[in-house]
Amino acid sequence: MKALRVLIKGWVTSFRYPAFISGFQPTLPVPPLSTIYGLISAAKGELVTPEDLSIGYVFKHDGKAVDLETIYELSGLKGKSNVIKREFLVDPEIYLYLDDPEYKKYFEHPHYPILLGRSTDLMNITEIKEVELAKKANVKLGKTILPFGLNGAYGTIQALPTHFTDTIPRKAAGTKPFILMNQFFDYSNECCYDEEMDWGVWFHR
Amino acid sequence: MSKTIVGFMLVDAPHSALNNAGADAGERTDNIVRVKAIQKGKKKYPYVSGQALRYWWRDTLEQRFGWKMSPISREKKIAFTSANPIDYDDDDVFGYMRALKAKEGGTVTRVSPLKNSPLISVINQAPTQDFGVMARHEGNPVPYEHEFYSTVLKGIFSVDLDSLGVFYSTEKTGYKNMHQKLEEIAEERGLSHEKESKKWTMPHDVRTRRAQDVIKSLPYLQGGAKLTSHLTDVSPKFIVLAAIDGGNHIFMNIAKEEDREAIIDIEALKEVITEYDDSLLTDVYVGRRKGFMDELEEPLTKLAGENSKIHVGTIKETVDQFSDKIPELMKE
Repeated sequence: MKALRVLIKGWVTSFRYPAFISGFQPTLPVPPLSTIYGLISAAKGELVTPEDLSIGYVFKHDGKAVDLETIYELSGLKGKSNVIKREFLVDPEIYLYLDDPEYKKYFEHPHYPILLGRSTDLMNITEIKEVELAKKANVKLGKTILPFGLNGAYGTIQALPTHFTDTIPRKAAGTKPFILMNQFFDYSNECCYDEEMDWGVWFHR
Repeated sequence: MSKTIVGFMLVDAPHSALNNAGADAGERTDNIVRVKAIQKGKKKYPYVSGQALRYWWRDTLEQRFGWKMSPISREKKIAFTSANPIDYDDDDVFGYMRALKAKEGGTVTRVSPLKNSPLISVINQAPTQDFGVMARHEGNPVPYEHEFYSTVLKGIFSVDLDSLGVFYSTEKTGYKNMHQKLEEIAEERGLSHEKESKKWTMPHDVRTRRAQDVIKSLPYLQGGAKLTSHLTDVSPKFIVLAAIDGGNHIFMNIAKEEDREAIIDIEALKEVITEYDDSLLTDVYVGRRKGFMDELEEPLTKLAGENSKIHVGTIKETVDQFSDKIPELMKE
């Protein structure tokens, strides 16, 4: 199949664990789908959801560190400021695959500043390429999120939204359990394969 | 087309401790203050969080440019700004979030048009551990431990010119900047209004001034921890400025580590400028303070000689020349 591959790089990023509300905020090892649909929406300048296109990605980073951050915890009209420790990932890069090559124009001239994670996590679109993905069995697959129950995949299991609505307040939509697969494993069934990178690409449909 | 100012800067930090991480519960003594640092394998990279840099920036705009800062009201433990981007420059440029009662309009939010990365050390550098004493009182002095580093920090930022001075009252995430009272103020102040898109726009001169001040304040950037004992000048010593069509941060990869020194990769800079030629809305302005990375003088002069769209100067000249382009950019 024809796909668009976009390489996006940055210096730091952090993906919040939805369930944690204590003084320490760990980061997810790979971004959830909603973060990626958010990034694509920023590039296009309007809301993009899984109904518009399917995506897959491979995410890498170079290590972790912990920052000290002031946050404001709101509940209704009341809230309080607090200092928390937030974990973040260093030198993130993501190979993003889209099944609609038409999106090339949005990545060439993204509408809004491109961020991945927090508002200080500015990103650089480094490469945009149309690629032909073959179907292949026995490929290495991973460094991404995968649907719960996928044959041979392992990692932390976490319920995560696929995207958010643009209403006020925004609502998490399409929440499903995912496997946070932060390394590669040998996948024996057939899936999309990027020959140049020598890895499998899992499209979330 | 969307319009964004993109910038890159280097901050020289000799013997500095600009942003501290406090003490860790696992430390051997309870009065060590660590600097913030990223550990990558065996290597350590000191950094200043993005939040801290924004604080310095906001402070500089108030001190040197007389910005009208949104008054902060405090309710118990939480502090809010007024969330009024019409009267207060910082609410417009730095964004806000404020929970209002439903009858007052519900929660209003504004995404900051000014975005910045943390400042991260270009080279790996293990912070020096130092002793200090509190010795002003009578009796035994109280020792403590702290850290500092000597490095060059890199940072990038962007200013989304389309949203600066433009406010929406749309019921859509990230777009609900206005509430009823604010719309009344907007009406009173004569902001232009598009009914269909629920969009309010500040006058051209206000939007231009705010954008120009953000850029013009860079040479005066001040702040950082431990000023009394380290006194680091945090104003950028090297800067690249341009406006582009789109929100890509194209100058992220022009600094690198070579032989334990921070360097500017001239080839990478050249490549970015050529490859994004069709996206550039202005020329590219490169500024450097004399005495900092003097080895760049020759290749930069050469670069400017080869390409008439590249301008090289001092930090102040660069910032002023680029600011002069902003009024034109702010036009529809």
